[in-house]
Amino acid sequence: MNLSQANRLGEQAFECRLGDDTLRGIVHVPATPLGIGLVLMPAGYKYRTGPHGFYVRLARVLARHGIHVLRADFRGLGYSDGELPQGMIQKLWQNVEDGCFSDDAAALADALRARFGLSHIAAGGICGGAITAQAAAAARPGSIDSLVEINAPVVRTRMPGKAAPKRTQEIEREKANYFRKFLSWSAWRRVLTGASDYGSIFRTLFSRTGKSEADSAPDVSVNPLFDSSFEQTNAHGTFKLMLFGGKDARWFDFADLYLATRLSGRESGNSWRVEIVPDANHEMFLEAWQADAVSRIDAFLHERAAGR
Amino acid sequence: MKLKSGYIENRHGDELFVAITEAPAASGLVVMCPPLLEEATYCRLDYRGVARQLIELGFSVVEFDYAGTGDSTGEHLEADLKRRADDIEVVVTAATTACNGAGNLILFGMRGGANLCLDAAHRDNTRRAIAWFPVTDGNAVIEDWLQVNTMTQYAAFGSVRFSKNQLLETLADEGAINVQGFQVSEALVSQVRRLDLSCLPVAKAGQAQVVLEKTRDSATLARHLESQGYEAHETAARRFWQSPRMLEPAHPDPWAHAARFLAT
Repeated sequence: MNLSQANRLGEQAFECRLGDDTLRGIVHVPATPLGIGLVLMPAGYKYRTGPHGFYVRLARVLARHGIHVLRADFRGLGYSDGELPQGMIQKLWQNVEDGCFSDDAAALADALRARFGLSHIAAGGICGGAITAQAAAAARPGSIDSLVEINAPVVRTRMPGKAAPKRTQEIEREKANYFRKFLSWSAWRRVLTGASDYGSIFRTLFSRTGKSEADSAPDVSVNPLFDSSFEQTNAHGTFKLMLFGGKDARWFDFADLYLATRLSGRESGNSWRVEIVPDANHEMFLEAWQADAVSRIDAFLHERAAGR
Repeated sequence: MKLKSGYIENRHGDELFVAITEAPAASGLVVMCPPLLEEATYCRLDYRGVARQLIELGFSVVEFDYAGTGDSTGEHLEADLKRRADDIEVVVTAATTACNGAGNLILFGMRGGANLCLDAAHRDNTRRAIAWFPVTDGNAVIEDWLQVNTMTQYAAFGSVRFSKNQLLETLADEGAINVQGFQVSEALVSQVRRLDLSCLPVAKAGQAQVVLEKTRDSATLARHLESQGYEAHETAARRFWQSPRMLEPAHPDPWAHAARFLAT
């Protein structure tokens, strides 16, 4: 079959070996390279295109601005060799949160650097992609120079049947919603006709604002790998853009369990910067959120390219 | 066997990503038609599982992405079912002129990809089709799309700013709405809405196999399809195409039907 090796946007298949397996992806090669590259890691079982193709759109913008971008699959995902263990999806997410793909991440980063002679390699992705990149950067500081973490999971996934505790911002948001409904005739009609979930209303209204289950034991829920790799990358000077959707549960977790405690509320430090895409959800569905996220990542990588 | 990948141009100037695993003495060629929107991502591991089983049976396998999706170029907003069908034809033409086993061409698809592969088989009755969990009611799919949009609004803004009816008005006025991160055109919505498996044309015996999600109405639909010449089966599905709870890409029941179909 007669296939073009590259498309007109400069995108081409990319392969690297890891043991007996081949990892496969697509590299976006810029026309005017800045010498910096970004490896985008799969988010859970969602493969190299990212949720709703977000990685593809992000990579195309960054490549137009001089940045090499590799979107690649770990073993068992997409077109890469290997098998994922069968079972509950939450188990896969937990394995990812425990760093099961950090060797794959480091191998991809090393391969991108070697193939194009890049001086700076950033790595990251959404959710599982973020923790994988952070774990790899902590374990192999020479492979990854900076991190682009989108909605990074600070807590491990709970198995089904174990409810997540509500965080401060979630409780405040739900109370605001109930206040809005208090003024709504249709909401009152649901209450009066018995269509409402009275238990849920009661629990929300009488939750303590600013408190959550986690507050009584703030360290219990934090994923030890997130904690240790965050500290190690700080020690290595691996700069992290911690980008969150303002309405994503991962942001609520991070704000309550890490920013407020470990980072003492400081949204920027020597090796990290927290940025928020207002209102955005976990996978950045709306175009405006995607554009905001892309522009923040673009700016961050250009700072890295300029050596700042 | 080695996987080769690259790009071919479609009729609209977009470049489609194509990956092929070619068997040396292939007993046939299978072109895998992806589902629509995020279902293509959710089903990726399932397609991979089926592709591996096909390769083990000695088939060459071609996978690809429609324009504006996956690794292909193009804008999703320009997508409609006609263009998806055009993309399938471009890939089939390129594959059959180059691959071993192209005399025995099979199209495989899940969900919207299943509807599209059945459609492609009807355009040329030398082709055969295996359709897993096709969309049986397009209206229900559109209702789901609108629901995803309103749920996103609620989660983000604490209220639904645009109701489902208002979203449909926006679609008519502005030509697009957002569904799970994709910009979806009015043409795609109106064509998907018209998907109705009970209106399929008559099939040649042995030409197409359909595996339906077992529901309250699936037995009736299966009987109707069989009266139209299709081999039809029902099987329970965990709706893995929406948001999978289990990683089990082997799908033993549908695969058993497919393996028998491929052996004939």
